[in-house]
Amino acid sequence: MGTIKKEELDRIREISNIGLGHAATSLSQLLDIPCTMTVPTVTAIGFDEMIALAGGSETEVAAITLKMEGAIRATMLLILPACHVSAMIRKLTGGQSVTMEGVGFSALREFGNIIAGAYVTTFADVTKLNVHSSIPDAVIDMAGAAITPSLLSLSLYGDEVILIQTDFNDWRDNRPERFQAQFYFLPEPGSINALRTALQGLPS
Amino acid sequence: MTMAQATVKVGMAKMDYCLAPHSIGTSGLGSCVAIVIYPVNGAAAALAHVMLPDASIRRNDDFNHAKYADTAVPLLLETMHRIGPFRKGLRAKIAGGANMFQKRSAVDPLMKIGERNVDAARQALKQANIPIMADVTGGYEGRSVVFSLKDQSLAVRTLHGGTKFYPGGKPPLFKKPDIGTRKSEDPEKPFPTSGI
Repeated sequence: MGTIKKEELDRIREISNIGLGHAATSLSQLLDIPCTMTVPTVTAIGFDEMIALAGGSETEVAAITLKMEGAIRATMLLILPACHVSAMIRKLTGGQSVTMEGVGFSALREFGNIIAGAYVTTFADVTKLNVHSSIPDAVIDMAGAAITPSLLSLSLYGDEVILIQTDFNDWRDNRPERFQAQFYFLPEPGSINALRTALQGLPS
Repeated sequence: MTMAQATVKVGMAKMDYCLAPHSIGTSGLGSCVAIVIYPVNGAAAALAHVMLPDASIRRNDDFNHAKYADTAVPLLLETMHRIGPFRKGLRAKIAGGANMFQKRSAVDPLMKIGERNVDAARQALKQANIPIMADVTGGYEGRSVVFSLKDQSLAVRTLHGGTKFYPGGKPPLFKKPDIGTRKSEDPEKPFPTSGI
């Protein structure tokens, strides 16, 4: 797979900034509370660091996973603190608990759909590539258990992922409540060259 | 005099061992499987945290034996052999191999890897002639495990189900038919049951 170049990361950061900005806007509308975010940082990190960033392998997290399909195939993985997600889902569903199957979990998947959907739309707009996202799946469990399944196809080739990290601020009760979201863009090894070509074609 | 017990922590796709009376464990197993091998006398234990069933699917030259079930078992055996002459009286306990994303695994076979990891671990242990004393696999939840050499018990923790202990137990007296992913629900009665 080779290491990811700095210019490439910079371009992914541009796309991420626009895409996640759209996502924050959609979330504000859905939750009916202002939701802002900081400019994301984009880095290439190893698997172990990924789990450490989520708070260690036993920390409870919400993980939402989707596939980007079409001209570029990639896994998108969104990791959020479990406690924050529970509060958000209660807001979204009018008091439903997220641990129960059904409405709470559908809401969690929908939440991932909004963020990843906004990201994929922006990605398609900017790169002029024909890409779309698959149905999301979600789980709330230990970070190690929730993260590794998404790394498996990648782990056959190497052990580096692209991390897009941003702080969301959700303005409940008129004061910002900060929480950190880790959004991972994991291009499938077969799509790396297509991604490179698309990124090189962009104005810098 | 009692000796302080320490727990050796094993990372993802890693292998390590501990000596009595200490413990060895690994955390956050989803589709991954923890394979513990220890001699009947409980003098040492080695644990591997495997991610994938079989090394033939790898695409790079960076070959980490502890990452694949089929190569991790020989690696564990070699480790035990270096510690002492345990080759004959070895036992195993395995845990993990959950299906974390049920929706995705319906369309993406790679997401069903938990099941394949468990099958590969069982197969490799069978080939090495090591009886499995506890098989806490399958399901939909992440697990953390600690194997203690004090009583040869495997403690398996889930976020919502608490900690369950799978104590020592004797190996099955005769070969039993394959009973798939069934596991002991009663912690007092380790898998597999006595066979009589």
